[in-house]
Amino acid sequence: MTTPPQTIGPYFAPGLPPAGDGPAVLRGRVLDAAGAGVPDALLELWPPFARAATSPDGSYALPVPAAPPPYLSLCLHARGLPHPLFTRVYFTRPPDDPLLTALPPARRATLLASPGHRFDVHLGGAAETVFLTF
Amino acid sequence: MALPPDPEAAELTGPLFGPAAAGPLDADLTRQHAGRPLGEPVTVSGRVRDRRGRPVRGQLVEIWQANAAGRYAHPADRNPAPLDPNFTGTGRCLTDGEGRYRFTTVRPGAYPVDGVRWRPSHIHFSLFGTAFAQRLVTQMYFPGDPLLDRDGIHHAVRDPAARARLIATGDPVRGYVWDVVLDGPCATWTEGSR
Repeated sequence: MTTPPQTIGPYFAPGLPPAGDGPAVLRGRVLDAAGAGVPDALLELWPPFARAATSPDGSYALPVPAAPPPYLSLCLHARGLPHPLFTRVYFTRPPDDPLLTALPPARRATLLASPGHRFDVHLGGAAETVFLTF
Repeated sequence: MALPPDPEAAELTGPLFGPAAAGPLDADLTRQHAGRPLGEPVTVSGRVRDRRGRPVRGQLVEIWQANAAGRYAHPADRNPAPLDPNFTGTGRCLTDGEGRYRFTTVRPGAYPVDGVRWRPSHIHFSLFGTAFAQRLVTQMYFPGDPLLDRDGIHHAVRDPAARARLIATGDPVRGYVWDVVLDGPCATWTEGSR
């Protein structure tokens, strides 16, 4: 009897002040299946918690620890999505990680941040990011 | 894809928001400006629980909504309905020791989506559970609203019983009550983790 999710819509205004600058920054873009930037998406990272909305061109910047854990969980909300999407941003590749181990190399690559902490999220298309269910 | 079983997964934990995340005035959207907002004052309260019925304590609940005329104080809202200088339409609070939250606000107005369709009055809710995987963003509706039957976003939830769980009970005098049950993570994951 759980409460169903609904789209975040275009007018979200999180009551929590946006996270300030962290010691390092993760940057990237949220792209649709055609490769166009997705504006007004909300991205949330954990741990520690941080969040930011995308710019009109789909770009975002999120504070991350100077020495992040092997991966951070990334939750994405966007207009038109009936529920949030979960993925992970890996900064290193632990050899025994259950998720990376379960993925074929091409799919695994969609979860790896590039040097310089860049990470694009592809909502569809050939390079679609691996999204997780729990 | 389904995440392979992993008791160490980061998604099994989540952020804990302390008192600094929500001050006492943040839960009353009618007192955030010098004057009172236009519209019908209402309270919306309820309990947040997990799928096992346990209260979600001390967690952040955020809301945002249109004003009584159906206009968001958001630069992207092109609805020509007037802004209300005494209403921003955003609030937040922490659940108490029994998982309860409470907001004082005004009933948001319905607003046109295009020349034909209208969105029913609704309040956007954002909730955090004890696990990041329980994250919920949804919309609460008001009982008896005739616009609900034709709202495509409300009907994006196909199951009529689940759809009904998005509609509060109560009335303007007694206050509206809307309880939330957070989903996830799946039962096998929570065994022994809390």
